Amino acid sequence: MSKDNQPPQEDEEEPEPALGPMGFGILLGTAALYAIYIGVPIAFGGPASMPFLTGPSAFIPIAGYLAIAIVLAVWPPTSRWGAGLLIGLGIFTLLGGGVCVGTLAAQMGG
Amino acid sequence: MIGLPFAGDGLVHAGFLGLGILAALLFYAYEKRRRGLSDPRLWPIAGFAIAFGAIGSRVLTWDVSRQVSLADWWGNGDRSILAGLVGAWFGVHLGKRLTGYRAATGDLLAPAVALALVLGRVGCLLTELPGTPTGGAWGISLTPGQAGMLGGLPGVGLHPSFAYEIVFHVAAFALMWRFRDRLPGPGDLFICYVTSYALFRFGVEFVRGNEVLWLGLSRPQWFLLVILPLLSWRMLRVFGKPLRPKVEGRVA
Repeated sequence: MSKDNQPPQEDEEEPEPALGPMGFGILLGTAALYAIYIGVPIAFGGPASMPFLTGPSAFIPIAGYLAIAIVLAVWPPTSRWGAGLLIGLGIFTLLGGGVCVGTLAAQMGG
Repeated sequence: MIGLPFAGDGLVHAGFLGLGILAALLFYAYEKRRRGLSDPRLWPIAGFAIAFGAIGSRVLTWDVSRQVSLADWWGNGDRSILAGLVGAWFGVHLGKRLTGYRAATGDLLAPAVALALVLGRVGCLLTELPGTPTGGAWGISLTPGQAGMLGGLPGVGLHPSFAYEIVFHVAAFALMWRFRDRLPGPGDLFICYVTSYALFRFGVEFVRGNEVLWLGLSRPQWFLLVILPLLSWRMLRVFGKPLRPKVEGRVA
């Protein structure tokens, strides 16, 4: 029987630590994205010193992050890390990432 | 009339959105355990839903006719829950395809989505343009400064359209909680929730105050007009079958 056709497992989940790989993935992923889009530009003298964060290239870090997160999420040994990174990307995008990218783009474009 | 306490406050909006995501994740974990589902692929699928839902809510509303770059739109353009739901739907299917998970996941996700939207819409209610004028002495009233910032009318009662939506999602969550093990097929709960939300949203758009696109209908209403026939067809399939008797204990 292939993995695809296995019925849902009926046994109880093993108890997990409060902050397992997925929790660390969420924290690490969200922090990394905020660091790239806020921390690094601030540390290097403002958005004007970070030309790669303007226009379409502003999406390169997010695209790379998404690709890594998908690979980790799909590979079973790292699936919880990947799930955490994907959730972290969602949190960053919904809560503040857009504002950061837009602000940087506006400042660099202006 | 009551005022708008946090008009345009992005931090308050983001705070409630964050609470909504947290509540959805906790409920997803609870419901997964209640159903006895321990497949490790279910968390990555939830991650795909959140990530692509978030991306979809920003990217799928991109209006190229306004000649705004995607980067600018990403930061300052419109957001849409409908676009987010489309993105999440795509994300779930992509995640299932990539992980090889075949079983339906909609029933697991639908109540969590409703819970997230209850809290997320509280953020909208406290910060965004509430809706169109009520025509009466009730509703939410904006100060001239708030009206200038949000684009509404000052000093008149405006429909609290986000409060209407909160009531809808609370009711939907309660109904899904009640009937979560009773519908005939896997995924039916999700179909019922999305279809009822589409119908509700189409109606509430008349008092939301969104920009009218054509023939008195807003952009979300035109989108809903396209997908509602498909959803209605799926609903007919759901209710063409008898309800399951209530099952005690675990269900998959």
